[in-house]
Amino acid sequence: MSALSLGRAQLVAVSAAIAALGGGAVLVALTIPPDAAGAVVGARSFPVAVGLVLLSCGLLLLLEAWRTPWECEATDPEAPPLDLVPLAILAAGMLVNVLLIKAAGFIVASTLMFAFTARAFGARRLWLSLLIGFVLAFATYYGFARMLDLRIGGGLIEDLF
Amino acid sequence: MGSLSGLLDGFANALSPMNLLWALFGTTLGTFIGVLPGLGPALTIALLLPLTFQVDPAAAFIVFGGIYFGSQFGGSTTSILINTPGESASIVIALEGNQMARRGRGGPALATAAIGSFVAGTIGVLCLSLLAPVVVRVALAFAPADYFALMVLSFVTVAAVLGNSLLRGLASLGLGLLLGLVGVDLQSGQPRFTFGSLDLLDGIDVIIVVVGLFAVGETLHLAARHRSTREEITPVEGSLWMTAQDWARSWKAWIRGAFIGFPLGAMPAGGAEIPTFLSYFVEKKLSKHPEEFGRGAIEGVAGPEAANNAAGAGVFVPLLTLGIPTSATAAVMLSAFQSYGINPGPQLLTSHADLVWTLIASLYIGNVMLLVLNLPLVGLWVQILRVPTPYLYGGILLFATVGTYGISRSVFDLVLLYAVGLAGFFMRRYAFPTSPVIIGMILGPLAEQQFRRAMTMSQGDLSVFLTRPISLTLLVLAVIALSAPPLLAYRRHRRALASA
Amino acid sequence: MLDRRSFLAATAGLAAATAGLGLPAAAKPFGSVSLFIPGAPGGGWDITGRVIDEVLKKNGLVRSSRITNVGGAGGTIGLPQFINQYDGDPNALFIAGAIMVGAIITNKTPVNLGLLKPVARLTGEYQVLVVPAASPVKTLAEFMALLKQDPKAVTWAGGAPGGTDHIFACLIAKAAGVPLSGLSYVAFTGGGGEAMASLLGNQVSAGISGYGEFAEQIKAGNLRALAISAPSRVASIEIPTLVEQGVDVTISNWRGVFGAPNLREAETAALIELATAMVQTQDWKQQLATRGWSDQFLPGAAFAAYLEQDVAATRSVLADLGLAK
Repeated sequence: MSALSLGRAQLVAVSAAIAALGGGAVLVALTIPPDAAGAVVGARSFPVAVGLVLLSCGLLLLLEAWRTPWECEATDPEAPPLDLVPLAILAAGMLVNVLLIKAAGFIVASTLMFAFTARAFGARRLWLSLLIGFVLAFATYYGFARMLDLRIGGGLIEDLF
Repeated sequence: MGSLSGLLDGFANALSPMNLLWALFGTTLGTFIGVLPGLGPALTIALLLPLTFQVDPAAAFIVFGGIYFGSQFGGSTTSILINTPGESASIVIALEGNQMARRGRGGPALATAAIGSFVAGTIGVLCLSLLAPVVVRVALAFAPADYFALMVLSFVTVAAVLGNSLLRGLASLGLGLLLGLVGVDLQSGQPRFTFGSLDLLDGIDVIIVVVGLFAVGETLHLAARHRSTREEITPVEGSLWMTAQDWARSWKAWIRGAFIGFPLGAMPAGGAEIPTFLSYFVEKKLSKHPEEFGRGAIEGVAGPEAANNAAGAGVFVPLLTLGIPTSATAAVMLSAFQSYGINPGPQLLTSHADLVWTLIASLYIGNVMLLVLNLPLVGLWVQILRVPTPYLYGGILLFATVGTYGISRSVFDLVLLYAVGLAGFFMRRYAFPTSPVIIGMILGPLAEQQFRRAMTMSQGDLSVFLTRPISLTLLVLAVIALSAPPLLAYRRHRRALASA
Repeated sequence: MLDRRSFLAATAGLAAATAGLGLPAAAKPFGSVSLFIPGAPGGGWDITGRVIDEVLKKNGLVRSSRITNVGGAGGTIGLPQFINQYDGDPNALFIAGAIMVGAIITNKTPVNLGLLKPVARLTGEYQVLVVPAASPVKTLAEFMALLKQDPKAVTWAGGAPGGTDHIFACLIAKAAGVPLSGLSYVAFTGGGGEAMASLLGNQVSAGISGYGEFAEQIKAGNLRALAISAPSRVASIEIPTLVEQGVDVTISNWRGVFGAPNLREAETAALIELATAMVQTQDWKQQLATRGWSDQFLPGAAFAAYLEQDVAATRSVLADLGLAK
């Protein structure tokens, strides 16, 4: 039953994180100054309430995770272990997009992200994904972004035409 | 029956072969816009505003009406087929619609959405013609206290989308409420949860969270399991068309959805989200097949889609009767009126009745064109599911970039999108429902503002929620919605025991 | 429904959509202009922005434009967004006005208008005090009496706290000798439809806004104007002033346009030129007349100097009213 205990540990961690988020929210909310303008209910009340809701949810979930972990992928003994390789490839693609979109422009950055994503989902032919990604990004840029006057900015290819 | 003859005159003005071509252009463009996340009809209509300098009002309004209804339908299409709603009002449609699509029933799901839009549009336009003055009086009777009671009712009905664990659903809702609080407080102007960051002062865009949780989260989730689990998505199984049972289960949902959507859309602080939740809740409670909800119940698509569309027609009530725009689309329509040299205001309907009726007729023509265009195309849309997974998800991430970065040109927003996507991945892994996050984000700030306004107006007297008839009625409804299901279950249980 | 960024609209010429696809973005200086409106649809800034948009396009001063609405908290939500997203954008115009000056001071917003490039002050508008048509109050005197009798029972619908509307309400209350802490001022931040709906639905006792926003409803008899905040009667507006009714309160609300932060001098100059060209058109003059706006055109450096004065003056009024320290 190691899968279950590992799953339980994850659920405990998640519940604790929610409780911590709620607690943190309450602490931050308490630093919001009460209104000066004499409003009956100020800017502080709702944030504190929301923080308390999250905090109590987190604590109750902690209890549940400890006693009877709920069913989900992480606790399902049948479920395969977490496959990190495609996730890492996807994350790399997103990172490339974030880093390049301002400097190299939408078409270049998004074509690369498309290729990374396709690779993460098992596409073998890199040239094909690059080609499809480029055509899609190009068509989106000129078909939509330019036409709708979106503020997607210029770039290496965008500035050519 | 002055309004009916007015409407007929409107049709006479609007119906011409050339205008039908304009309608085709508008609906097609609108559908494509709706398919892209983050891009709404307001943006597109505004883009085409200079059209008003060149063509007659009927043609311009027909194009705008087509774009308006077309984009709503386009948003539903992606929600149903690939679980990537592009705007907050279509997340409810994704709940059941995508489950249907996964089971090879994408065709009927799209069909019930298209016909539901049409039915709701018809009801909406009729109500707009005949009942607008009445509806607007009801809408204006809503004070902040009543709005807050409406929010309470909405929060209660959210339980219907919480999934199978109340606690995890509440945690998701709480997360959404927290995200909605980030930014400058709309009432007092105080920054909250911004940690001194300029990027957070203007708050977190709901679209980023919608696209992040659904499109990006789903992509990450599938990527982590595609090598181990062969998840077969059946593009089409059985008929592409609706069966007799589908019809039987859909038609009441369409009509109920329309009558929920229209009045709520007409309210100055209404919007299209609340009616879709309410319709989903109503359908789930009234359905003879409640066990199918969460696994592709057709009523769960038919009702909310109709509600969404009727709310879209309802937005025109305050615009045409009072000259008040209550949505971005309505504001752009106002500009269109101004381009024709008309100052919209309370006398619009008396001083420029012909133009108003032309607009209403044009909306309807757009609505009919949508049905004509999209029903035959259902088979084509479903083919999206045949796109190989690597390219489908590559494309989804690319469109997600356009819908966020393309609007704001902010790298921070892009990072936020992916961070929210990661959160969506974990939520799927640990079985937390995602839609309550969006609901919390939308309803939270509204509920807070209305509550604070109500308290200012009553000088802190909480009894205002019980002394106003509208507010009291809504709160009673909320209590019934909360207590009825357990009571019914109890009675059923007793009866089962008695008969055993 | 007001949420922070949902109101997004764009306008661009059809010509641009169909023919201009292949043109580089910066072929002509004002092919495309972004108008950023920090208020909700239907509010004062929104009307101003949309009028500017129409006049610019009708006179061929720009080929296309896009409008973005980001309403709430007297414009202090839109301001940081504009600063973040439009930094150095030579084609962007930001609509702002006196309301934002007050809101920034009251809210202690970490950014201010000083970061933007002042292009031109355009219009001035007086504030109007109205009551719903169904209200028993017929005159300003009756209103003042009611206010003195039970200040908390009088609910006011207006814009953001610290803005011109709020200051106007406080000045009236002060003139009535009523403690400001007990004012039931309901802020409909971002202005627009919701505030109007609360008045038309008779949900509040009184409303405050610029004349332009109320004009149509006053003409239709849905709202009753009690007084206007001008020092003396305004031609074409048949509303008595507060002063002539014995309440010594005057206030006016300017609106203008700003350029993005960190523009080069030539870029700012080009925007000033655009604004100057706009105010000279017949369409603009006609819009001023029909909307009851006064021409307060003041370009560039003179506007910057005026802004500095206005910030200081507003700060002292707000401090006087106890809304700012």
